[in-house]
Amino acid sequence: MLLLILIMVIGIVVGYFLRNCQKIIHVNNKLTTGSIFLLLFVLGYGVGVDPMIVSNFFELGKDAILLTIAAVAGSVFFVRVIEKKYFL
Amino acid sequence: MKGSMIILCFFALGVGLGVYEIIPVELLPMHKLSEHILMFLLFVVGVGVGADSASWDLIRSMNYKILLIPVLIAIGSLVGASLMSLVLPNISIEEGAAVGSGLGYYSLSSILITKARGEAIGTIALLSNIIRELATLVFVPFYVKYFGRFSGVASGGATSMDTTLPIISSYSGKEVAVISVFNGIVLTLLVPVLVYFSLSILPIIIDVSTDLFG
Repeated sequence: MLLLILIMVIGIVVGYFLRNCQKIIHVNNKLTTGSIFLLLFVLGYGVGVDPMIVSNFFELGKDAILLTIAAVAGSVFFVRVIEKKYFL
Repeated sequence: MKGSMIILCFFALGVGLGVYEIIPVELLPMHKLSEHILMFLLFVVGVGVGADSASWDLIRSMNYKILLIPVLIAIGSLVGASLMSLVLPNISIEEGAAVGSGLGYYSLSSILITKARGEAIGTIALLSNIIRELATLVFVPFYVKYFGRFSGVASGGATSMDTTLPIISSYSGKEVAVISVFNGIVLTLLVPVLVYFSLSILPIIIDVSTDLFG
């Protein structure tokens, strides 16, 4: 996973030097969208061929909803604390 | 909103074709394939951030107080999701923290988590972070009214720089919109780091502290 973070950092540096080439940046944005679609399709395929996940889909969905509520509540709460302290 | 619906459709299409195994798994080496697409994706995401002059301007004019916002949003998300995982029998603390690390960036976080821990928790991460984005689009007016003007940014997480920016800007104000963009950039960069922390470093911390106090 560290390799992936490194790849992203290299991308940022490359992007910085290419920031005035509008054509390349436009193509880059299209490639980003395209690779997200492709990746999610491949991810979905991996889920679909796994019978364990297909049969527990609603259980997974329930866990997802509960984790989301907790994560959002945590973020909102922590930011609320500094808003009162520094930004009033 | 339209973007996340299309992404959900691609995921659903993959699931549908996967159930009937249209393409034999042996012919399509999913894990190798997804790893290579992921490397490519991270590179182009990096290029996009690096090329965005607004992000460099913001960093130049940065003061430490603005940096507190994404840092606390990340901590809050990790803490909240880890606490919830304590009452969920099928989710370990580090998996809960990893799902919370997604901060709404579902494509990247779900892929990283799937790669490290398998499809079940990866699917939870995908669903959870898509729900986070959709819920932000729906509930920002309510959050801002009851929990303050930064609550929309907090809920949006990494999406506060693009998909949820318009709604945050209209309910929290233009000056918060600038913070919102900055916040989204910082959290987008933090997502892979936080997922790595949750799955690789957090278990060690938990082990050591159980040895010391348990």
